[in-house]
Amino acid sequence: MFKNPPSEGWLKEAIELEDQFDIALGVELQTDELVGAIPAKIAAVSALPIAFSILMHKLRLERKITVEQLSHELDVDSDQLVKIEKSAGFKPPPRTLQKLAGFYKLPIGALVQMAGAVKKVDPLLARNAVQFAAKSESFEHLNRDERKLLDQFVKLVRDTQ
Amino acid sequence: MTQGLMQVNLVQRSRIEPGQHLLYVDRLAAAPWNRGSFGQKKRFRPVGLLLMRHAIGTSLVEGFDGRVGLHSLSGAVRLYQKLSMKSFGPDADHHKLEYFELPADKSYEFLN
Repeated sequence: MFKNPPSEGWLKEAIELEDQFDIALGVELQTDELVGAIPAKIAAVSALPIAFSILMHKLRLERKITVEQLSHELDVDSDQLVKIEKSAGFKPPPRTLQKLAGFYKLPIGALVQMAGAVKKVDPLLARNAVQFAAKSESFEHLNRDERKLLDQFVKLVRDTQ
Repeated sequence: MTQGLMQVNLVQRSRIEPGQHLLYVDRLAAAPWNRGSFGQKKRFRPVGLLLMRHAIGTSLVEGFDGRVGLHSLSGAVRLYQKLSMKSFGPDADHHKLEYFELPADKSYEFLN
C-alpha cells in the first residue's frame, strides 16, 4: 500500500493544474449502462436527464396508469411521453413540462432543471438526482425499496425551488 | 461517500521500456460534485491528481519503478504533457485516444 501524503505545496500546484483540465479517463459510459449500475459508474455522465426519465417512469408506475392514459389525461402526444421516459436527454416542450408538473404535483422549477431546459441547477437536486439514478432499478414494477427511494426523491424535488 | 474512483490493471507492459511492467489506468473519475459539474463549485480538489499520485505510488510499491500508462481523453491531453508523460499518439485499438506513459525517471518528479 502506497503511503506518502502530499505536501501542501504539491496540493496547491495540483489544484491549480486540475482546475484547468478535466482529468477523467476512460471511455464514456452509455445511459443504459448507468441505470441500476453502481454509483462508481455515474461520474462519467450527467445524471440529471437520466434521473428525470426515471422519475417520470416511476411516478407513472406508481399511479398505475399507462402511457396512453397519461397522454389522454394531459392531452400530450404519447410519443412524446415515451421519449421522456425512455430517452434520457430528450427535451420536452415547456407546455408538456407544465402539464407533468401539474399532474404529479411537482414544482415546475425543479422539473425544468432536471429536463435540461435551464442551465442553472440546484446543487442539492443535482447530487440527489445522481444517487436516485444510480439506485433505481430498471424493473417495470416498484418494490418496497423502490417506492421508498421514489418517495424520498419526490420529497426533495418538491422542496426544490 | 465516494469522492472519486480509479480502476487500474497490472498486466500491461511498457512501451518506453518494452517488456517492463507498468501500472495501466483503465478508468479514473472524480465524483460529479468534485468535477465542477452542473456549474457548481468543486467540493474537494484535486481528486483526479491525487488518484494519479496513488497510481504512481502503487506502481512503485509493485516494483514497476513508477511507470504508468493511460489513454487520455481529448480534454486532458495537455495535462499529461505537462506531467512529462511521453505521448505515443492516437491508438487505433483504443477509440483513437492518445496513449501516454510516465517513464520511471519522471515518477519521483511527479510525487515531489
